[in-house]
Amino acid sequence: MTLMRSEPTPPTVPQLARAIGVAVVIAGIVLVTAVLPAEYGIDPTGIGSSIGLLRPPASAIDMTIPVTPEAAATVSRPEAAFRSDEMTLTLKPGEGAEIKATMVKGSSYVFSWTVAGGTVEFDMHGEYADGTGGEASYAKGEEAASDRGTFHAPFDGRHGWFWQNLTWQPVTVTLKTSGFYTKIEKL
Amino acid sequence: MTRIFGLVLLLLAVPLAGDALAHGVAASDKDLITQGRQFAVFLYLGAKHMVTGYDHLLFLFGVIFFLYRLKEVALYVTLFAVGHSITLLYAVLSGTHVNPFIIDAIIGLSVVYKAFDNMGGFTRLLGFQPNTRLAVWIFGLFHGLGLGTKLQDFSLSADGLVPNILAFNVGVELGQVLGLSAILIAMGFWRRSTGFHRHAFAANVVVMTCGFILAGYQLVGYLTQMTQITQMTR
Repeated sequence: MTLMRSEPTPPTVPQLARAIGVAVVIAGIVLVTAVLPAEYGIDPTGIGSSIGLLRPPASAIDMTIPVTPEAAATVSRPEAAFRSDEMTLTLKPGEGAEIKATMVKGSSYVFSWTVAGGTVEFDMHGEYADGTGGEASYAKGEEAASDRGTFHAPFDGRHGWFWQNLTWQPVTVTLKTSGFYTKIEKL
Repeated sequence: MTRIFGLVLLLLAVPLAGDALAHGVAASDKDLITQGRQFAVFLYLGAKHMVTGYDHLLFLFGVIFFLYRLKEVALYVTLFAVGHSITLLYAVLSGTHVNPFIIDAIIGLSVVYKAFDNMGGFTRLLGFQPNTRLAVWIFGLFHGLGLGTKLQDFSLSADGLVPNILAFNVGVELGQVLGLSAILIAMGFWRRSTGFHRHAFAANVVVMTCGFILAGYQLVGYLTQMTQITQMTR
């Protein structure tokens, strides 16, 4: 096997060092100004961006798959700001109290309440905001120690609970709500 | 002169061509693979991998830079093929995954090595030239590990696995022959010109530069991947 060299004598060490130096420097410049901006969006010098080579962050969402009207209807965006509240009520034997949230038709909250020290009788209900005195009851229970769920307001008004302590001991009701209502208050 | 500039331009243009020639096996190629033996599909994918893998072509360009006889070229290609067949079979059969970025960085450095060799660097520094045939065989081993890792991305079925790997290997050889033919023709014209010997050194500096770019590109890719993994596990 005969291998022919480009030159009869190999290049000198300084020649080699210079050649490698040139290769490293040019490779570094090309990498930093072109390859890294274009391939990884890494652009330490800003040159990639200025020559239009900076790759923008890629979207991971396939926008070509349509959202059906039925699917879109599962999401509603009420005007009220999102908020979370926690309230406690202590009820003496025989005492009753209400907490209600003011909200518009179609908006929702997620709720969970628990009773410490006993049980309560409750009525989850709403009253119309139009002043007609109309009411609607959503859930009722006796000797209840807790309840939780999601509530969707069927009309504009105040929606919440009336709890009454029918035991011989004082009880404490702790209510947590998260959702879209403008006000939540003890009545 | 114009020929040389043309070739240098070609060398520079290929790595910049981007995704169209991206190394590795394209995601859409996965659709080609179903179940069982698929000789033609794996043959094609193997050949495509070599012909469109600019790092492989760059390495081959370096290897045959000073090879004039077809017999020599055939010997070197065979040594390379034997090397990468061993590790390709081993990687797939044993399920070995090597980080593709690392392998591709090594391939980039193998381009640097070969360019340095062609520049007469080893002859100058060591006083002798390291066995070029052994070097080609060893680089074949690394290339095979990368191929094996990429081939496993296709979630191969056990059914017809070995025939499929062999078909992929044969495809890699076919792709090499195709790529080398193109390079040999271009080199043939270049060698006939009187400028060849004068510009061989400079051309290998260009090849070395491309090798450094490839290695840097892959190493940064590896670091980016590591950073992402660290962030995800936090």
